[in-house]
Amino acid sequence: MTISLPAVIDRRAVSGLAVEISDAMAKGSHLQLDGSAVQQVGQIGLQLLLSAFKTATSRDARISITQPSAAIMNAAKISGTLDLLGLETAHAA
Amino acid sequence: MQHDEIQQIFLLECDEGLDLAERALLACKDGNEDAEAINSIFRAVHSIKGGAGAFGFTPLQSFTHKFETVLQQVRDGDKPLTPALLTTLIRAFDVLTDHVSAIKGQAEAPADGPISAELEAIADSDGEEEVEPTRPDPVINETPSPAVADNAANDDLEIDFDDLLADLNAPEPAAGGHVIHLRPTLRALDNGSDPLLLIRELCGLGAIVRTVDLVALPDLDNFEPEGAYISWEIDVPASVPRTMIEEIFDFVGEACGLSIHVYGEEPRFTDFPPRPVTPAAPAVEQTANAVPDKAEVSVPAPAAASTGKSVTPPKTDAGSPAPVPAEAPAAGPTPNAQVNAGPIPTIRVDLDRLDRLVDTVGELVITQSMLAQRLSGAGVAAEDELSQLEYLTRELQDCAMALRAQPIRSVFSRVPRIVRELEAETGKRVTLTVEGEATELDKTVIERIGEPLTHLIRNAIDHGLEKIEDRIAAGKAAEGNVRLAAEQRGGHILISVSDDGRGIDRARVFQKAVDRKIVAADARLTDDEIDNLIFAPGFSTAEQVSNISGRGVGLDVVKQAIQGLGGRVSISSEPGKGTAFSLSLPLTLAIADGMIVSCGGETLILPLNNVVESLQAKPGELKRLSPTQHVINVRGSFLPVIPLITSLGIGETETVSEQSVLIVVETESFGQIAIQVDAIQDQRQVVIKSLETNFRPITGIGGATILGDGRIALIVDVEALAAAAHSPRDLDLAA
Repeated sequence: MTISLPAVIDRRAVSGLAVEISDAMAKGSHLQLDGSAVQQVGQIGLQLLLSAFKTATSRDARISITQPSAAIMNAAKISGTLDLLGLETAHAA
Repeated sequence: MQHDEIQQIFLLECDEGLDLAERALLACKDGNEDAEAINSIFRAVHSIKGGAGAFGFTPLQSFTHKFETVLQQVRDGDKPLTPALLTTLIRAFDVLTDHVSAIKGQAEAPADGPISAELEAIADSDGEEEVEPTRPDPVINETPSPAVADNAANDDLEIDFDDLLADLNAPEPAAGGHVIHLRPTLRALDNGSDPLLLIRELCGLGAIVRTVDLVALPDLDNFEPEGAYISWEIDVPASVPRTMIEEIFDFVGEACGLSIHVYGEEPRFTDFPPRPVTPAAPAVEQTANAVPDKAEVSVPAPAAASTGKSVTPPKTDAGSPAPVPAEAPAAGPTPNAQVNAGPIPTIRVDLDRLDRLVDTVGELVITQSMLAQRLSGAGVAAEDELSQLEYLTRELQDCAMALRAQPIRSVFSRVPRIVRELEAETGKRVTLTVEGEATELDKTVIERIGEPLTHLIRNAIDHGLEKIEDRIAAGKAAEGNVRLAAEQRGGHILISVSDDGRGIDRARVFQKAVDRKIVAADARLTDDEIDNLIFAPGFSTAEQVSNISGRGVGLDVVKQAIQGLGGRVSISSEPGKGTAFSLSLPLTLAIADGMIVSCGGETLILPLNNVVESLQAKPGELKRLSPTQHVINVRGSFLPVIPLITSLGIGETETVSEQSVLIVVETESFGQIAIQVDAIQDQRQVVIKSLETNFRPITGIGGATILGDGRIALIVDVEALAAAAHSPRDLDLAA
């Protein structure tokens, strides 16, 4: 299952996304977060993504960010969370 | 302190920084270049950059970064400050000013492409020679900052962080480097704040994230979008001065717990507040040998997590494990409190608070006056006490008004740029002389004087000064002179804008006025009256509306603006020698000296700054033009007589006679007029109350005040009164 992340992951977007991701995760399939459209992500968005990965770990679910945009990579890089979000490969590539 | 308030402080400091930078640039332009001047420009630009980064103003941050790079090279002696470079720096400063205006919402973001490219070319102009930095400036190869800083503006994935970070293999900060613990409070994201921007800015200085603390991060089911859950430990290279780090955190207020300490020293844990955490949340620690993107995950010991301590930061105070709400004010000193440990020389106060103080003091003045009158009426002998009370009240009033006073420098400081732009547009050369910048005016006056003053400056250069060839032909220096000056004269501030240009062409002005039916063709006007015609609405002597001063508004707008401030504008001109505009402005809009008069049983106030004299007509001096129109001969000049009682609709038609009390007042639009009243009561300072705010606007009435006996007295708007009645111009035309 794939969820397309919005262009701006701000406070308004995060509320809905948290529920959406949690529900999708509950369905058990490999959840892919399509990050190609993301243009702006700050700490709020970063926290959501990290929380999603943490939740997946606790539920033994699979999650990944596909086609991460420059904004996502930049935020993850600066914050030192590339590996936590499974983006080392994308970064190295 | 809320994010918006902190941002407001940043914007104010931007203005102050720009002011300092401009003065330093102009000092350099005047040949007074010294290290301190360059340093002040650098500091101002650097501070703006820091704040821009903290608040996410990325275009401003990006531009200041480029500007700062060149300034640093000049400061460090890597580049000489040539006239050409100075010109570029001044242009860059102008664009920087526009950027600041843009973030204030006052203008569109400037197109800074050309000047940015120029700055970058200058920064790179030393060829391949590597510049040894005094700090890890973003453009230096050994740091990752340029890409990161630029990334702040465009999030461009094409930036290769690996390349940029390749040299950062040193696992530990160099000796003397700083370690920052940044712990946003739970409410740190309120009002749009984003601590990630601070980290971005730090990375721009070569910092790297050592550990990421996710102890407090909840899972999705407990995720609150408003919360801030991540903390960081960040290593900053030794080459970055602490002050530079502190500047980045200047505006975070209480949003983040912060500790900055030299590597190897114990952090000051009291610097940031403890916070509640979600148990069993993972902590992430980047090993010392890892590059920043190779973080390792470690799970904190349950005991540690349950006590609310982060695993990743160095040891915490075991004696204070109990979680405390992060947003509690007592949680710890703010970052500002840490970085500004010295005495605070000034404080910033909301204008609303000052206004409330001024209003309250105004009420006190009125009450004091009422008390004095009441005691006097009751025969209570308390002269000494009343005198002392009055003295203290006046002192308090002066102090309160002084709080709103600001130097006019903030307005004058815009003028050099205007002159530079006009020089470029007109090809004229101008020497600007500015005097009296420290003269203080009420803040409201300061805010509203900018536009009219700008218009006058533009007018002086565009219309007043001749072209270079014409000046030379006239035997003048090629460079024209424009003088801008301010001084206090009594209860007024006098601002003058003068030039040594061609002066007013009166024949042309008069003809234009006739063509536009402003005056009759056979009207006989003095030189002063002709000069004043340029203030008539719609008047313009420009054959073609220029792009400079002829912007669809004329000097009448200037006049209206000045009058709206309770001031006056006058003009004097000498053909071939120049023109001078004088603006007379009140020190404050809240208090005025007034003449108290009675009329038809009412008590009214005439603003004393309009009053020229009071008189009674001598036999033969009054002339009747019509049943309702009279004029009085005052030393050879015939002035229209306006009965106040009928003009304001207070009573029935008043008979004008030689027994009438007449007060000659000066108006801007209609010259002198004589206002007829029943009697003059007194003359005193009055506290002006707005009718528009408290009631509704009334034509002919400029406001109201409360008298000592508690009665309300209306303040006459002399200009409006004259406009509503017969005007001298009508008389001229009738003649």
